[in-house]
Amino acid sequence: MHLDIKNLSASFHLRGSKVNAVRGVSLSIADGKTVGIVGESGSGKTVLSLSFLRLLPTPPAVVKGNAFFGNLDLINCSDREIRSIRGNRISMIFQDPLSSFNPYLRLSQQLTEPLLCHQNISRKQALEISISMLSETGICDPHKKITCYPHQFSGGMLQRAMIAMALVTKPDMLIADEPTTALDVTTQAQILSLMKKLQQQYSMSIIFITHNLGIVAGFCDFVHVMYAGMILESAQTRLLFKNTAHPYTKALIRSVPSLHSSVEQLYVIGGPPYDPSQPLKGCPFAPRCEFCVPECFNEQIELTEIEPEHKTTCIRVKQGELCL
Amino acid sequence: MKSKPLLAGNSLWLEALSRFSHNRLAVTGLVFLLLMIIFCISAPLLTPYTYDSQKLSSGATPPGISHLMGTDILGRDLFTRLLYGGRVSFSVGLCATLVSVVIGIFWGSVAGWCGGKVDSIMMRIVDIAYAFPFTIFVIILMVFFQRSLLLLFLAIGAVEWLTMARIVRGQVMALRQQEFIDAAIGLGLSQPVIIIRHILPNITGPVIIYATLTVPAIMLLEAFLSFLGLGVQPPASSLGILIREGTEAMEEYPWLLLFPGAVLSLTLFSLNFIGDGLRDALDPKSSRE
Repeated sequence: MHLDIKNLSASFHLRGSKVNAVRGVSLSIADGKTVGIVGESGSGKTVLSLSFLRLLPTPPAVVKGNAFFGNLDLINCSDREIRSIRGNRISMIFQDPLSSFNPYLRLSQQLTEPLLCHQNISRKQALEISISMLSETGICDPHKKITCYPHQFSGGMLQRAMIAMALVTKPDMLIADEPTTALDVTTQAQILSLMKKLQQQYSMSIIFITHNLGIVAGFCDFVHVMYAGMILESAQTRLLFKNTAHPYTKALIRSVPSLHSSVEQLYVIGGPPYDPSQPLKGCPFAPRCEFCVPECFNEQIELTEIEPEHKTTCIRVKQGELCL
Repeated sequence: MKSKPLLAGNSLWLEALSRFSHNRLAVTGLVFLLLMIIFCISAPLLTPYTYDSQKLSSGATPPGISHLMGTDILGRDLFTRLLYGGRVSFSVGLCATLVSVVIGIFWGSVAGWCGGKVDSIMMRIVDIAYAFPFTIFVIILMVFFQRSLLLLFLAIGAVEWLTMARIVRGQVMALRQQEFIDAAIGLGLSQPVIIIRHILPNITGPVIIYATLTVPAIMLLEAFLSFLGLGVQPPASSLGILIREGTEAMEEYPWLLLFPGAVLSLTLFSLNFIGDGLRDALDPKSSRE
């Protein structure tokens, strides 16, 4: 099902100060597509994904805007309605598989949980579905493995089990919040290809949150680049890498160390990351931007299309002063 | 401890049972405790005397064949009094602990889970109850209602749950920050389900340890209340009363203190061993070699 996020913002009110983690993000995710959200730490990508499933603790968080999933507005619907979506229509995979399982419960108990919670089926049926899902994720001997406790699994196996748990209910959408960060590179590749395979099998859409541009390039159909809780550039993946528009995206891509070039020093984006508790005027990246001009600090930024399936906020690109 | 291969479909409890049965100390403790309880229940079958039958002519007899543990000054058979006293002490100890565990877990987990204002209000109530003088509370209870053993359970349980609630609240607050709780919320589970299925199993360790410490504390509390004339009244006996009487006559008739004291400390030992064994048995990680 189609997810349409409109002008979503999330802020935290802490002892009088207000931290704006997400500022007016709008994006939509079509059926069966993989959408990547990239940005450095603190850019608000995790908060964004948590906010439209209403997983942020409120208070201190305040979430505004709309997120239409089909006809249902996830932000303004009742608790019961959002619970019937979570884990059922939209599932989530967390960053650290080791701490995302309850150490006291067997995998069988945890994997069947979403099924028993959302569907009217017997424990035995739920167990059968979970076992077949576990074998889909490439765990051999799932009948035996499902009786294990989380600590008896390795990180990669647990991430597979987590994917199985997220997919037992055959959701329409999967949110993967840096699902491979805690894994080594070989396992990463396995997990990614597994997700790709299951995505095609169950025709679901994936929101992939990461800071790894390499994964984005190979895995996502569409990419949104986030900074300071805003989307600075969104484009079809090929276009993003071919015609990189926003200086921030350029800097991000440049910061990825390459095996082909021999440089003395790695490229870093200078200056401190944006402080979300400060009020915003102009482009949030301007203080760190190599190409900034005085207007960058004053003009309201807006995502505008610069070519089909490619939008950016950078005013200099829009004015044609910076080439694509 | 041997680690058994995992059997498919074994419940947590079945497996815990198998782990518990491999813990020799815990099993010994359990057997000993059960034996004592069985002895107390079948007291009339085991002894020809009653707990209040006095026979001044055979007062203060040392342990012997007719009186296994001797008699007290009034000529009452100590073994008999110990059995009947055990009935009171064990039932007060176990029931009041159960009451305190149930209330404490409920109160603590709700406060810890909800946090914020709910937590403040609930914990302030606990603080106020802490500050309330216990003896006055019991006296009020006894004045308004008639003196009964049931009330004694309630009174003691009503005091002992406070610490349990604090312990549980602390644990729940720490667990709430864990990622698997976020994951459970993300699965769409409702809050009561999360508390019961995900939080409670994780706090069994501290709860069991504290509960095993509560049982002997309650037995002593009962003795204290009886001493004030608020608990069990002579000629009825309880472990606490026997120990108190024993200390009074300790120099002349040491057996009066020795036997009840031994029973209490053995109970304490077995409870602690059982608690240790239960904690290990209920922790799935302890099966790791």
